[in-house]
Amino acid sequence: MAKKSKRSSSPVGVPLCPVVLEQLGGLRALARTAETFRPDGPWTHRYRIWTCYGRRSRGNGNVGWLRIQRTPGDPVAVAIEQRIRNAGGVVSSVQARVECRADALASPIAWTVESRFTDTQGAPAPALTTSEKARVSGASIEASAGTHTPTRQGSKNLAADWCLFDAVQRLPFQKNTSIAFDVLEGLGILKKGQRLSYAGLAPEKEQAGGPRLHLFQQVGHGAWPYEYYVDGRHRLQIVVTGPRAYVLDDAAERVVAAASKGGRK
Amino acid sequence: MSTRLAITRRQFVRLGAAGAVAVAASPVFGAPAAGGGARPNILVVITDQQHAATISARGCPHIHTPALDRLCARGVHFDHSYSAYPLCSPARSAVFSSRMPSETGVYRNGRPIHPSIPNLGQWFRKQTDYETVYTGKWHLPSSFTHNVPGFNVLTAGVGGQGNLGDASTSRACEAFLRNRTGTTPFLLVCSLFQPHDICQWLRLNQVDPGTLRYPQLEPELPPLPPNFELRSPEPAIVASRRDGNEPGVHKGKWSPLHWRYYMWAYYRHVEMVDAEFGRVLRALEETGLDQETLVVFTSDHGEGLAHHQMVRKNFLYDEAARVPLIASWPGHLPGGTRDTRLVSGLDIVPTACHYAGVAPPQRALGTSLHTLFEDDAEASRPFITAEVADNRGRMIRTPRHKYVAYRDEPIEQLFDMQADPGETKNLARSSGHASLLADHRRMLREWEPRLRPAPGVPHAEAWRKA
Repeated sequence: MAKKSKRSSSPVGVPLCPVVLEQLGGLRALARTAETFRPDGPWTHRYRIWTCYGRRSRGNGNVGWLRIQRTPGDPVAVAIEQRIRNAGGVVSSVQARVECRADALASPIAWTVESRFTDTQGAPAPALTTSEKARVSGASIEASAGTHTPTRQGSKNLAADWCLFDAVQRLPFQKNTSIAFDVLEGLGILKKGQRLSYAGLAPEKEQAGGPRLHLFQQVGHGAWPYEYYVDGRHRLQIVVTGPRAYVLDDAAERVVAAASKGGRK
Repeated sequence: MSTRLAITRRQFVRLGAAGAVAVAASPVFGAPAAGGGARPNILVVITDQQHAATISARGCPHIHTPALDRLCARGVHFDHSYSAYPLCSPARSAVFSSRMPSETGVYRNGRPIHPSIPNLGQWFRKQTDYETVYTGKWHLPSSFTHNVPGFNVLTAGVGGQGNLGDASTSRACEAFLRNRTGTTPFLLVCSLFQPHDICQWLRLNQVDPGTLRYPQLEPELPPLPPNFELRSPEPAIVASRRDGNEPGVHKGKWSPLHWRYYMWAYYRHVEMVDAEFGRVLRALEETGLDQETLVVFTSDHGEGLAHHQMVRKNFLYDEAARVPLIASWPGHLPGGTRDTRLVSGLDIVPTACHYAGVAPPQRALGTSLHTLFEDDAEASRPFITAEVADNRGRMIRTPRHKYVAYRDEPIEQLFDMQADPGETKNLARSSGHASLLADHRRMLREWEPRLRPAPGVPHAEAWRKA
């Protein structure tokens, strides 16, 4: 028993990757990708948001989910919903609709984003709701939240973090490809100096069971490096950023809800 | 929105403590008296584990902190602000009570403030009509809780994950500011958890792989700090902290490259918290509340950041003990200024009380920063103190020197912080500094009787008798 306890609190020691996620219980199996899957087509992806406290057992688990729905067109429409379980039963959710270019970065053109909370009893907390409409105009962002319509700093080469989940699926598996851009995190916070590149097939020792995954890496200011693991059909299976992982899971919403009811993290 | 006190702020300053007490004793708190001074809203932003020198506008070339840069441009930045105890719970107990952790009873993480000592929210609820609101980490004793005495908690964040929780915290603060309809002023605490996630990073990168996972980063990795090498004789407890903070990090197991990668990663963590603070600052600015709000930004403690081959906290080298402190209130405090005088986390409660027009709680040890803003020549204090290591350690920091002593440790430390800001030459064993050492021991002896240790705090009696 003592031995088990020591193991459970021992540091993971190495960065998260598919095989480590599998060892820690964050990944059961890679999601199956249909032969008909087209990254530039219509699709809906659901991800469990799994976090690691850096130890083998303690403090790891699902804290929320992310759903991204892509509708092709000109512009591309991306609908996003994310729910995060906060301490004390509070849930914070963000819903967004984004019009994107069908370019390499799925560059956002215009969007609406709404942030909501429920309280500790599960009731809506309308006083904590914010919503914003925004549009890219050149290198600026015209955003209006309530009665305020200020112009904020944007970028000529702008991406949005959630839309990159779409973009990386459409990038070629081609080394020496590197894209420079600024990223709008949560459609609200600009983080500069990002570089996204293809790193080849993920190292064999980092692979989980199932098909071999390809790896895109993103580094830049204001964020941990992002690692996007894409399967051979160009479907984004896992995203790892620091101690957080997004794991493709059609049952994400149900799994996270069940964990919440069970009081598990 | 702020309300008006019928006494100007300048008049209030001139009245000093006696005036503050008089206002506090007024049968209707905040009631107009004469004149038209404003009581500002008060926004206290506290980050977790932020090294003092992590602001791009203050010369750190390895980081991009647009929000903190903006706050510096519109406020006063204190270069020498110290945590009262460079560990989460004890430091927070001092920030929110203006009492030393040996007095609050929070001599280690996860202990509550002694019930006889009010926290800032409780004091404001008793003495003012301010709306008191809390968001984010508390850690007195629970880290992420809705049970924060004296405050209405909007969200407590996500347990142990600043990367997710801080977005909730900043979004809740943003909503509170944008949707505000109240007519009384507010005291809002925005307690952000980053860059504390560096602790997760350390556990997830404990093994040095020998190569960089992202080779493209090598040209931008920060250099090792000048005080990376270990030279100065240290108390054994400090050396053990080096190994105990994150077993496996030290002991020669990390290459210089991995140390530099850790530094690079830490700066990204600070950028994350800057971004979340930026969301709150933007909401303040876009609603115009910035003109009516005193913003005080600080951190509970710093981060080793490879100096002395240390990571994390819980020691008294400046990297852990010194913290950022910025205060801003456009039109009322000087903008874009630096102040090199000694200040402490203890000063936040008296500062908030001063601007709210009430006296600080009895036995508060801090000094309101307004005395410095008013350029009061007597505001400079001869020294400030810190505690550490389950109340075993003490620091006396004077404008020139730093003295560190631990119970049951033969090695004391004395540094000339002007000639040797990296704390590499321990002068305590130099015969040429015997008199200086004696002076600092005397200061500590004179300080201890001012404290009223909580029951059961280890070493408290020994310090008193020292």
